[in-house]
Amino acid sequence: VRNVSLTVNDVPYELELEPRELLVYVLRERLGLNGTVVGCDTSSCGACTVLLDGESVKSCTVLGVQADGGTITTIEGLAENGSLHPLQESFHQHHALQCGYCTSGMVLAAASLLAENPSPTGDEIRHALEGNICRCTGYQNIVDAIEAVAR
Amino acid sequence: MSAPAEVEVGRIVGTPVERKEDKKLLQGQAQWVDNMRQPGMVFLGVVRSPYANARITKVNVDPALAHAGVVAAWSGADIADEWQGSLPCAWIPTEDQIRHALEGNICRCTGYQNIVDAIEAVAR
Repeated sequence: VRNVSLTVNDVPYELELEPRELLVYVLRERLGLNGTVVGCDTSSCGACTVLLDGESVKSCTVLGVQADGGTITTIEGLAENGSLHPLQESFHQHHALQCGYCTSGMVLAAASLLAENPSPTGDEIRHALEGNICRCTGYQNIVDAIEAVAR
Repeated sequence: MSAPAEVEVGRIVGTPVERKEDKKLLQGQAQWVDNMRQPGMVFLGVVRSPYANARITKVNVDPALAHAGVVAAWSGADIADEWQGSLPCAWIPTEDQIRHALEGNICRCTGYQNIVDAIEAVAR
């Protein structure tokens, strides 16, 4: 068991983690943040994407102990003072979600892209989302939603 | 018959309708089956062969049972008697499904078609 310090959505946590524990299960099981979901468990689908020190990571492929000292943003931490983050609002306006299972990962992958490149082209958006799978076939609307925020 | 007075023509048809379920879905507040916990609930993991076509000679579940908190571990052989046949299906299997289920079984007299026919006859 290792002592790990994490800041998740601005809340500091001191945790005792087994080295085998994946970040996604630390978030879900230990912190109760069920907005981060497990789709494939094999880093194929991107549903578990969170921001670690501002960059998108697939939390099913990061060990909790690797995130020691890190700052994490999950989907629960995006809205501020009860208002949706511009990406969340834009996803809603553009019908960029149907079942919603990929949405947390999509929104956070988009947030990471826009932090890096505030004015991406459509191609750059599609490239940035290559690690995120949507099975309701909503890619076009997801790209539209991100483009609207990027402008 | 005229439309009810309160329905504005073109208000719904041809106009995007705002979804009501998005707020929860967009903020990570949705309730997924994977979030649910029931008293006494345990979890099942299936370990599959890493090889597409191979013969199982031995499955040792002892290391799995040695882990703290593990309730049970079975190999296919352990639970073979739980089924009437080798094709546990909730519906009548299609020919494709029968062939898929037999992928791990080799016949060198090239009798697959008749094997499939034989299984189909029982399934019907």
